[in-house]
Amino acid sequence: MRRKIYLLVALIVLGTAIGFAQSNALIDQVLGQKKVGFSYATYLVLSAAGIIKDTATPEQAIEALKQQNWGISVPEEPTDISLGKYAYLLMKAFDIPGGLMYKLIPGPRYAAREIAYLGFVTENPSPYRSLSGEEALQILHNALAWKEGQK
Amino acid sequence: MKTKKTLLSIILIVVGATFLYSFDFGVVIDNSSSYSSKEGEGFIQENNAHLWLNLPLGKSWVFNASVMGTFSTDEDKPVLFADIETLSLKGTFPHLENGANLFVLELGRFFHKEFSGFVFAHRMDGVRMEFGYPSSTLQIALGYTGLLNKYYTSLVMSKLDALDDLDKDILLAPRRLIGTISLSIPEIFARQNLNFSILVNEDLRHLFEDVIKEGKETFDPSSGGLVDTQYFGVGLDGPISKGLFYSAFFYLGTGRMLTFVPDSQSNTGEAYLYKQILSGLGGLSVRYYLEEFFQSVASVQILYATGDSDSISYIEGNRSGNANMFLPISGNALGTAFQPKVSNLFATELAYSLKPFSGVKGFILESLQAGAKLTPFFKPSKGAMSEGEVDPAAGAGYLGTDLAVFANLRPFSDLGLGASLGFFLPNKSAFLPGKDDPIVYGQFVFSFSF
Repeated sequence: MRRKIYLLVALIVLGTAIGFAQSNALIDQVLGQKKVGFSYATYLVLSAAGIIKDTATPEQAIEALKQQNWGISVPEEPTDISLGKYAYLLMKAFDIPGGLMYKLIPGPRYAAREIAYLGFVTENPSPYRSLSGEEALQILHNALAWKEGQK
Repeated sequence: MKTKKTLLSIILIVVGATFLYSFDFGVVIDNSSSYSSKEGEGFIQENNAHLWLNLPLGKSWVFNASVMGTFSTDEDKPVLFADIETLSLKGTFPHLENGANLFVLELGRFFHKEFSGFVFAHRMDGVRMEFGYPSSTLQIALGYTGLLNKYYTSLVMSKLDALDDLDKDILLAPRRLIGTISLSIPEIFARQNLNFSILVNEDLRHLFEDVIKEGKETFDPSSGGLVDTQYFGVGLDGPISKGLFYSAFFYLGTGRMLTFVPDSQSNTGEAYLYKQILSGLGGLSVRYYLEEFFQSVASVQILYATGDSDSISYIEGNRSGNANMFLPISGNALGTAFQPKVSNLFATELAYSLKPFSGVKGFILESLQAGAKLTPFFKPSKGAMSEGEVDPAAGAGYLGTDLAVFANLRPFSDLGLGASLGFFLPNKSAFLPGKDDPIVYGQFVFSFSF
């Protein structure tokens, strides 16, 4: 419970600083997910990047993602997101440059390597594994802090 | 037919497990091109490839494997050689109810080091257990080094180890059993961390081949005995003030070494006897981080390792009485052009580095780190040290100074570059005649992972 409060506070404080606020209800749902859903992860990343409003729904986030032309295949049915695909979303949404291999072959594999190198993810950086809602929020928190540090 | 079916089943299980769980794999290639003006060295290029696999098995276990291969121009090594770098199964079990709140078990081939890194830092085959308590961590490890490819090791401690190292027909490293017990107490007071470590190094060579037995009355230059050592260490590290950190440690070295000494009970008046090793190694380093000024780091590191005034060589060189030269198993060294082991040595390293483009975000040279190191070396007592060019008959005193500049750059997360240039100016009176030339050393390294 303390970790949940910490994450919420960290996100709200950081969110206020950069001009966005996540819906608490949605964050609660994400925190409760052992394997975070693709649409929820998309909502988190796109709203944090200011591409969609924080009042949008996960379904609207998916529609917005389809319009981005990032080359990310969007699943037709509700499904979990892998760490690699989540990393790839972050790379695209926050314009993270990536390594040489990412520049040559952009995709989830080298996106996961990049976020591990930047320290956003500290546990197993396998691009094929799933991640919990709590971990997804923690990674997003680290990505936002990194983006702030680039200014 | 049955063997083929079994093999196929194993392959299917491994492949199935690989895809069932969240595995990851990759390749790292690195190159080192170096030049040393030291006699017998010259230009050496080594190209390495490492293929690694990381396979989580369920919630608690991870299987790690890595193989490495090398293409080398070093005349002391084969052109091509390879080894299993790591091969281990690691289980992590948090929240146990037996007092420890974390238990980690690792079986197989892994890299292991004691807290200072100056006595033992090497791969070995064995088992490692870690018990995490609320206020401390206890680690116990036991490993064997005799299955490692010798061209990737630095474990020479005895005369027979040294002879095997020169023999191109011998592929494996010295057969040693290494045991360590370490206790780490973080933030015991004022954010200071306390470490204790006991290491035991048991030479197992006598189980596989003949060695000189104690009591032999004639000198045999073509063979040698066993070198068994133990180390008892304590270390303290932590912050002193904002940006200022230190670490200090001391190891007491004990053990036994075969020595050919005068013996009144011998028919020849001399005999091989095992003599006690009693030695010490101490270190102190202070580092100051100045983030605001181009991420600068200034540091001073002092090392003192005891010597033995009657020792005539680094390997089994004791001539009488106890062997007082500190003998590490395998560990770090100071210097760039001149890199003696921590035996009969007093060294002070002054270093400074900065990242001149750290403030230019997104610039390709943002990660560039450049620095310089100045390391005066001294011999604290008469006798031998690891570098054969040093005159064992020369008394305690100044050996020379190693001056080095270096630069490291990681323009992309998967590409690393490094260069270093070192120059050693010897004190000629401490070196053997004809072996007292200055040493120039240069190295360029790059690594790429995918």
